Amino acid sequence: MPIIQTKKLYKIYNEDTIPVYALKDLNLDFEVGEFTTIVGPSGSGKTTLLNMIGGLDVPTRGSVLVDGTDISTLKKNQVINFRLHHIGFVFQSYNLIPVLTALENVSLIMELQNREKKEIRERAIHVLEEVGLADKLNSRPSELSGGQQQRVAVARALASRPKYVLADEPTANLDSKSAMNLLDIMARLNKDESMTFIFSTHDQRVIERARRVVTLVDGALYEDLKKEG
Amino acid sequence: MITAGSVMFAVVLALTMESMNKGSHEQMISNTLRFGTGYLQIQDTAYYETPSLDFSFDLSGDLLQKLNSTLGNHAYAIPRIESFVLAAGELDTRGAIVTGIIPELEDRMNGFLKFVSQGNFTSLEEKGVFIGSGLAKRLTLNVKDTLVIIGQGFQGMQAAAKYPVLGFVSHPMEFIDNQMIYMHVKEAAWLFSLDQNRSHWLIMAENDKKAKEVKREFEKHLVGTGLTILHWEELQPDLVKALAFDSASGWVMQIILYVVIAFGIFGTILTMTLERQKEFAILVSLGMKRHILALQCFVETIMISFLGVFIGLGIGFPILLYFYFNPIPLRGGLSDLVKEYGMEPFLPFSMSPSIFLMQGIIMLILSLIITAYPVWRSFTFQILKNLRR
Ligand SMILES: Nc1ncnc2c1ncn2[C@@H]1O[C@H](COP(=O)(O)OP(=O)(O)O)[C@@H](O)[C@H]1O
Repeated sequence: MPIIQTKKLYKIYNEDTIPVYALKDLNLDFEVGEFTTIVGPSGSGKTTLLNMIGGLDVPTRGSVLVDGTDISTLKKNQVINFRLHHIGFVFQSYNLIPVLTALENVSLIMELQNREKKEIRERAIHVLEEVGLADKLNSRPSELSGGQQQRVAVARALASRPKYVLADEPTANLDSKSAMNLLDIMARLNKDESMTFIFSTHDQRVIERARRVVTLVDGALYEDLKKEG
Repeated sequence: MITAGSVMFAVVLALTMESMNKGSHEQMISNTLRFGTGYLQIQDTAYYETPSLDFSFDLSGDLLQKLNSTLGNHAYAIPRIESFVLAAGELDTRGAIVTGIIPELEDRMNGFLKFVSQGNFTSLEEKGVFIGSGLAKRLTLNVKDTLVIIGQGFQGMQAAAKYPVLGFVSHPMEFIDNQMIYMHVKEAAWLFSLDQNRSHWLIMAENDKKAKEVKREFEKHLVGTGLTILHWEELQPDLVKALAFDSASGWVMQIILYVVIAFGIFGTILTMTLERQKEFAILVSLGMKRHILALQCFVETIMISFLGVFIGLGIGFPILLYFYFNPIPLRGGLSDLVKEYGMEPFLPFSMSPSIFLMQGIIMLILSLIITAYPVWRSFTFQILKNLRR
């Protein structure tokens, strides 16, 4: 069974004045272990789609099923809990907590999950090592480059072993070298930890690295391309 | 930090204001008690309306015994004779007040010795008078000169005598300085043909609460004697009214101050909260529940406020203590005005613990109310909008 399904998914802004169809009749399945990118011109609905399957926004019509559960039927606190336990987020603008160190930022979600202190620390150090920041454990975001900050964000998203990681334009603010480096790391984690990644992008070189490319135009599915191997 | 700072500043400000306000009240009351009415007075029932020597009375024997046992160790009674007279020096004549006192009791009551500017106060046991330095100047009298007193004694008897001036009393309260003639109470009794009668008795107590107890207790024994015991608030209704009015206007000032303070603190909390909207949005999107976020905001704000309040109290205390022992002297017109009201020309401060308690509590309540904003905000802000900022 797919881990995420969207069924007749619609998101319409300003429905009663001048309606904007941000998403139009989307029926998509995502499997465990995918490494998928959502592409399309600006305003095509990529962010909106990621927000829907991340439980950050609710559909106007249709549904998002995660492991068979319709997440739009959950109560507010249940949605927050769902995000906490099952979804990892990487944002375009990193969104680290400025007053916390890299290690604390990565530990944050596990702490919210009330995991054991020792386990949290070991896991956080481990993922930071995996993203190549073993020597930056105690640096604050302001002391890190953009690429390094985004690697901390990826480590944070992954550390709690969520069901899937969503990343909205994770490389948009990075130079191409850092971008490729980040993508290498994501691809490796996709393999080593068999973590499902769904991310949006504009960048042609990033698109080439994905194994499935979902293209949206004006909120509707334009193309769904799966590469073999 | 800015918030803690503004809370702290506010506490110091509010403390100072309240301390000054309360300090001047305390001083007014204390002056009135010590140099005027005493805490309580035993009088003939007609004396309050017509303070004439004809309504003097003899408090002795059984009643005096009962009074002394009521007073115990916490209070004491002072017999007084007071009457208007004409006082004459060599050239001039003035209206004055003869006050018959017992020197050591007078000193115990109001530290009278401090105000004796010339002469030896204990010599008042002999025939002679101490007069206010202002009166002395008006009558151009020096120590050892002769003062002539002409007045009316008990039931229309002639009261006239010559007294040597033994010394001067210099007092900031003008009615003392310009009008008072002090002599021993026995001498005054002789002058006014009062025999054992006294015009009234003052009672001094450790504090107002004790005084009220004494009044309640002793009142019983006065039934049917034609005497009454009055509290200073009954003797000085004008002072009580003035204080109440002053307190009310003081409160209005305080409320204005609190509103200004509250907006100041609210401003810092507001900017702090808005600055952290994005951080809040990140936390909630990652999975922090809103009520936990709210709790965290609440605890944070309260801690900051507590810190501010305690540092404020900590800073305020030595400042007030300093001004308590070194009151700010008033100059020029203000000084004269204050003297006219019978007060010393200083801006007194109060160190009453209730001030610290009240201001601390009020500030904590204020910050508690202000905390409502970040808490409300944590529950209502929109995640997506704030993530994008
Ligand atoms: N809050 C909103 N209110 C109104 N329209 C919105 C809102 N958010 C997005 N849209 C519209 O929805 C469409 C899809 O936006 P988005 O998902 O951000 O596209 P992309 O991420 O592909 O650039 C756009 O036309 C955008 O203008």
